[in-house]
Amino acid sequence: MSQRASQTVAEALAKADVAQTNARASQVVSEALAEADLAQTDARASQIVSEALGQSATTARATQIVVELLVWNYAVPTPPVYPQLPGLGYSVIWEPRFVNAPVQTHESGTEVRIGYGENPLHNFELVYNFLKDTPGTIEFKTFFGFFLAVAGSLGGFCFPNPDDRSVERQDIATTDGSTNVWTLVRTFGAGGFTGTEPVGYVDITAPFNVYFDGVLQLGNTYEVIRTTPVSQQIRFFNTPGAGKKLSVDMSYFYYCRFADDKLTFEKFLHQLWTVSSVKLMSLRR
Amino acid sequence: MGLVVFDGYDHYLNGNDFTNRSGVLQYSNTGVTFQTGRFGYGKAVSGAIRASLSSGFSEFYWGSALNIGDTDTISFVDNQVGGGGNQFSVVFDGSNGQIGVFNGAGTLIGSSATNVFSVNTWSHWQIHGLIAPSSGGSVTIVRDTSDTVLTLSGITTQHTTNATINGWNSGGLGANAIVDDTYFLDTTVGGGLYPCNGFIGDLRVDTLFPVGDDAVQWTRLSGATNASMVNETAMDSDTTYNFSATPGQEDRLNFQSLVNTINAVVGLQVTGAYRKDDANVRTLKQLLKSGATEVYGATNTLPSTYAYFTDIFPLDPNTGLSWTVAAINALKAGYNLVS
Repeated sequence: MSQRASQTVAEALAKADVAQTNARASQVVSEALAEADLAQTDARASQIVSEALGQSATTARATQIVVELLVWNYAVPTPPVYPQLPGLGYSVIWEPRFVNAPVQTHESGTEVRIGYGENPLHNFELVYNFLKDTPGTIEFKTFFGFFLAVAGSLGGFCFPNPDDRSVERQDIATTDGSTNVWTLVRTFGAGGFTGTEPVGYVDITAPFNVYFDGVLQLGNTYEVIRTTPVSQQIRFFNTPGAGKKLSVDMSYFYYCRFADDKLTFEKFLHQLWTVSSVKLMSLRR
Repeated sequence: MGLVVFDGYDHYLNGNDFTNRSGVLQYSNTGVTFQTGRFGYGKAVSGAIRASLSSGFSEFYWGSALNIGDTDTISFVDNQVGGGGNQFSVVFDGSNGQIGVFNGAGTLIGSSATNVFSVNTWSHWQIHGLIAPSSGGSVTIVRDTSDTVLTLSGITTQHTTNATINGWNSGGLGANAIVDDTYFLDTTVGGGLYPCNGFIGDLRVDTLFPVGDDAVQWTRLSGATNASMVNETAMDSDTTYNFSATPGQEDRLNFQSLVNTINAVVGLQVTGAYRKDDANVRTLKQLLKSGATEVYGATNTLPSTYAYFTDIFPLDPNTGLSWTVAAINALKAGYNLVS
């Protein structure tokens, strides 16, 4: 094995050349301990504060509060409701009208009769003896504005027929154990002669009660589906068992439009108007 | 739980105010704007939404209405507050009406048919996500109430250390969607008629504002009623407010009625904006009264700047059943100073 030297250092301890060594002075101070002249000494105050560590009378502030709901079924908004004004007078014409095919009569006298629609339509003719237009009474402007808002015969609206406005314990159906949706209808007539038709719109500002075999049901067991006029429905979240008689209390509207595109208002005295004929007709949709 | 939280975006002032939410749902980005909401109700939000939840969920149902101008991406994120990591993203491509699902690494893992949505049109979307590693995850996308447009199963949806998400991102990076009526559900069976643990459909958020005092004890800054101080449709900070330094004092207010087209109420939450005006601790709880039953939400410590606190009530506390329209129209809500 050979030895190898990787580094060789020569170190020498030498005495520096005194002649080549410089002394350096970077600062010289002269300090004297003396007594100041008291007459010439000022005291200075630049700031003074008093600090206290304590609890403040903190108030809580509320600037906004809302109730947010996660909701189902944003149906088409209900059409406007026909205004109810005190000047409505007599006569009132109410004309149910079935839509049937013309009767075909054979030479033998035998007839062929066909109905186009199961349920009748309804025509109404109303008279307004007066509509006030005084600073505090806006009957004329209300009715005039309503006609403008629905654009004559173009727009449908809810007509509260005072002679056919609500029902109590109206029979809707007998449950079959598989159906959970029914169309809401009302039955009109007496003396054993009646007709049953779907209501135009349910008036949900009035009480709406539901019964099975005469027993009132909780409001959270069903919903009223009002999206389609003349096809108002009640839907139960859980399908009812078979053989129960379903009945309801409800108020309702006819779904109507103006029969004409014009309406004649006549001013017969200062601030008093009259409308001699307002014709309405019910709609299927 | 079922119903975790929802937001109709109806009561915010601006993007800065948007980030004042606290609790179960928070937003971290101020760069959003508000405009008229879906169907003309309230407001909707557009811009980069960065939503974070207070806890993580391994399986969830997210629902929201979207009006996509060109494109949008909904990303479901783990560790949202800490920087985030996508578990998966749903990309709406307006050029062909197609929806693609990308994993957290940015790889396309499935696409819908084309033309399943139209640009500049409101549509409602539900996204079910199951977060799992090793091909154990799934994603299902449903349009409106029940039109399934894409189902992916046996996919890997975990791309971070956690098999959960605790937030979502929408918008930003050139996306231009308008968002409204957002809800978030977990798979727990909720009570009442609406368990809210699956595809629950196209829902809307209806926001009711105070209309009058029921019983009040706080001091109002001005005006004739305490309700008038807290009924603004866009939060007005210290312009109008009620205040109190007396523990136990509460304001109970009447609210607007529901519009008559509402058929069913899936859930209710009370949201308010509160702050303290000096040092010292102030705590507050919100209240809800239905019928004769008055209940309180969580006790919250107030910060020195306004923060929104939300308490959710999926069921009517007076009946223990789902809410009815009549009960909603008669309810009272407010706030109580605890300390």
